[in-house]
Amino acid sequence: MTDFTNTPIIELAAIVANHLELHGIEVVLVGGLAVELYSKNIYLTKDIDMVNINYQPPQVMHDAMAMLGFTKVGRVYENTSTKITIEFPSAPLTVGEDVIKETTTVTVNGGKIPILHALDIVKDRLAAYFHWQDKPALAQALTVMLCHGINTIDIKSFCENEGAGEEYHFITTLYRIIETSELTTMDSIEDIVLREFIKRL
Amino acid sequence: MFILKGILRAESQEKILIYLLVREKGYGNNIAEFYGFSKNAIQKQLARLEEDSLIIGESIGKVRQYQLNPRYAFYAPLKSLLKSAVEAYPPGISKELAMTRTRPRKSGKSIIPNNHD
Repeated sequence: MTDFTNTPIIELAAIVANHLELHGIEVVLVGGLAVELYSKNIYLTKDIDMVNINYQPPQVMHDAMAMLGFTKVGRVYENTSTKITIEFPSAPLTVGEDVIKETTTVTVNGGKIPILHALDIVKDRLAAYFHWQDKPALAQALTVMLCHGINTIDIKSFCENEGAGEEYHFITTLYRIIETSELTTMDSIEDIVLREFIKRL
Repeated sequence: MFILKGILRAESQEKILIYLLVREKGYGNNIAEFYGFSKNAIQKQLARLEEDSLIIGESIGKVRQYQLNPRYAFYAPLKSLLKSAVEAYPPGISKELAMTRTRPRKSGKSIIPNNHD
């Protein structure tokens, strides 16, 4: 199968992950699509990031992806039938400075997708916020936390280890506000982050 | 829109200061690009603001990165004034300024509308 014109992104990720596994390539979903999966599609992305965790050589990857009609253009794999692009960032799997050894899988249309745990996705987004002041990443972290019942206490030591103890209190405030609001769109969550951010300027 | 007209010398000064308040740091080209101002106009005002000690610049390679000067004598009231100006901005503009992806994107990746990856 090489025509993915009508294939939703999550299904495509499952097809690719399962196809690669058949060819001895183990991948784990990270990045924006992992956020989307864990945020009940509140966050929408157009590309797939999967880490090749068993370090298969590039040629093996090229050959396997070619069978699905994907060719490498720059860093990403493209297929003329879809705008969705696929990238394989380098292993190992890391969040902040921690190497991730344990992952999970989610079952979706198209098969199973190996994926980081929701808490690791939250840490990944928080790290982007701490190090790059990336506020959309903070909104994404909060969304995944709320969708998965991850409490702020679960990220306290991570925040402290990243030197962001002060931010932990800000995140706790945001969490409480968003928790009591209607969680419907990423835009509305970003609005709350923005409002509270301006307050603390 | 020039909220602090009468206090600052030019609209571009207000834009620069608000950009640096919200994003903490910034380059002249990025500030000019964000507001759709000419690079020369922004560079000229950056030089003036730096000369007056409202902002400080640090050379990184061939470019200069700016931030508000925390040692400026009226730093706290300046911040407070700028914050009031941000609050008076239409939500769309302040959101675009504050809620834009700032983490690095690998080269070769397409830019997705709404800053989502």
